Amino acid sequence: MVVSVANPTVVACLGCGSSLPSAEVASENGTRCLRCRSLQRGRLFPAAFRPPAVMSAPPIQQANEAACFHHSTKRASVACDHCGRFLCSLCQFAVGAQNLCPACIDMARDEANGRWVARRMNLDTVALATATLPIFGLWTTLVGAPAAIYLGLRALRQAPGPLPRGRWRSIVAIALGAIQVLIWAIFLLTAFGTALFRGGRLG
Amino acid sequence: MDNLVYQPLPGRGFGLFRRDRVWLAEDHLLSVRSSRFVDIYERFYFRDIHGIHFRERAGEYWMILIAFLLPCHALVALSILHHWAWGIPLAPLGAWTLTYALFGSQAECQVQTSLGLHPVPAISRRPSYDALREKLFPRIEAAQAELEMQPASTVPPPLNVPLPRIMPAVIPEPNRGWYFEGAFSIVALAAIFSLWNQRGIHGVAFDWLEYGLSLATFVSMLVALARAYRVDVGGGVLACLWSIIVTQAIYGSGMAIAASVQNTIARPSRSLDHHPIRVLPDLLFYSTAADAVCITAAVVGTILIMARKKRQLE
Repeated sequence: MVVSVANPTVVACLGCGSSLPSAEVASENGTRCLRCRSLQRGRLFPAAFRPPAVMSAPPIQQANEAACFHHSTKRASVACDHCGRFLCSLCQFAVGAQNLCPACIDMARDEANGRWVARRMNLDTVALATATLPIFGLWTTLVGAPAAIYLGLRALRQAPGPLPRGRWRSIVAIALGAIQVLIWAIFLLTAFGTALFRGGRLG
Repeated sequence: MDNLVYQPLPGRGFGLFRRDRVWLAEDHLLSVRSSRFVDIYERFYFRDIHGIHFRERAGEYWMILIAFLLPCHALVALSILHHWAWGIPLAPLGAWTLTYALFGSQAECQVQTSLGLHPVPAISRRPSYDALREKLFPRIEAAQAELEMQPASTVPPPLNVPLPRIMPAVIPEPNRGWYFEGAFSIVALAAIFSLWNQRGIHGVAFDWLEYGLSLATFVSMLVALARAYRVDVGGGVLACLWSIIVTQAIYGSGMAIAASVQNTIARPSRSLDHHPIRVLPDLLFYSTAADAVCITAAVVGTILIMARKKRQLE
């Protein structure tokens, strides 16, 4: 369902696109689309009816003022926190506490859906999977156990994300990796160590 | 690192390797799409949210039909076929029915901003939307309190600026529902075949049940296709023709399978017990030319219909 500023009393069904009265959609129980029979609920907020803000940047008044990278006649107000280019107020995008330029925002866009997204790899989950899944292959733990220890240590030093997340995955991954390495060490020493030591003494 | 306090909201994305959540902060909503290994964050600040939209799919009709078919099939599977394995094909439908009864139909939630619509996959059922509505809406209203609730059409645009731009057009998602409806119809027909296979063993009551189920399935297919089309009379006629052909094709192949299985049971030394692959010649033997034509027409018709729908969407 999306509203057009040209006709705010009508909204479009999310499923089939047919028109629905926005007042009924915003009601407690919503309304049913007559075409696709789906139940539509929702709410439009004052921001939807706000005309788009018109912005302008002040021009350069003096010769020693810095110019915007994209608009040579406009006065720069900030520098991009990512690439350092000077930006006027038209080109400046405030993203959280940072000021970014359009080019840096485009670089951060998700290629799949074109949205600006923030990603974070959960190294602790990767470490835990690396410590547990190779157990089913047995021999694969030869590679998996050291990798799990490495990834677990990296996960402990990884910058925390925006959401609360415990450290138990990293600790369990490191412990499991260490146990697997220990078992492999005992196995290798038992299988080949005796012969090596005996060979050393005989030699 | 953000030193923010996030409050989790109810609602989780559906899927084995998905863990979508929604978190509420002081001034924004955080939508997290996660594959467990990678988190993708989207923040929606309260002052930027134009609207919250929720669409619950119409599942109750199929729910009623499934609730009718499931006990029938279970009855037949346990009392006549004497094997629980016949119930396996309907287990997913049973799980779906249970989920629907507990949490309501599957739904989608989208946040509208000036850039367009952003799906929030964690809000996929009605209870989670109600919780979101209860906690989020007052905060958005408070954040946008200074903005007047005034339609833009009544606000004269300034002379030196372009007209207010219309919201970006949203291309409706292709109605994938009809694929599921088609799949459901095929599974329902499989239930009928299990009855059909027993024809002659049971009495008049089962015959009527069989005919009733056949009719219900056929009508449901017609309804599903009519809903999928809902364009013009030509499309409706084509849908009817297609459903008749598909029904005949499935019936024909089902009869061939039933006859083949019965033949194998009657002469086990010839087929399945020793050479499972030999059931295939039996199938060909029991299939008629009309069945082959119907199956071919159904496959070709399906491809043509899908191509037509794709052209319509483009």
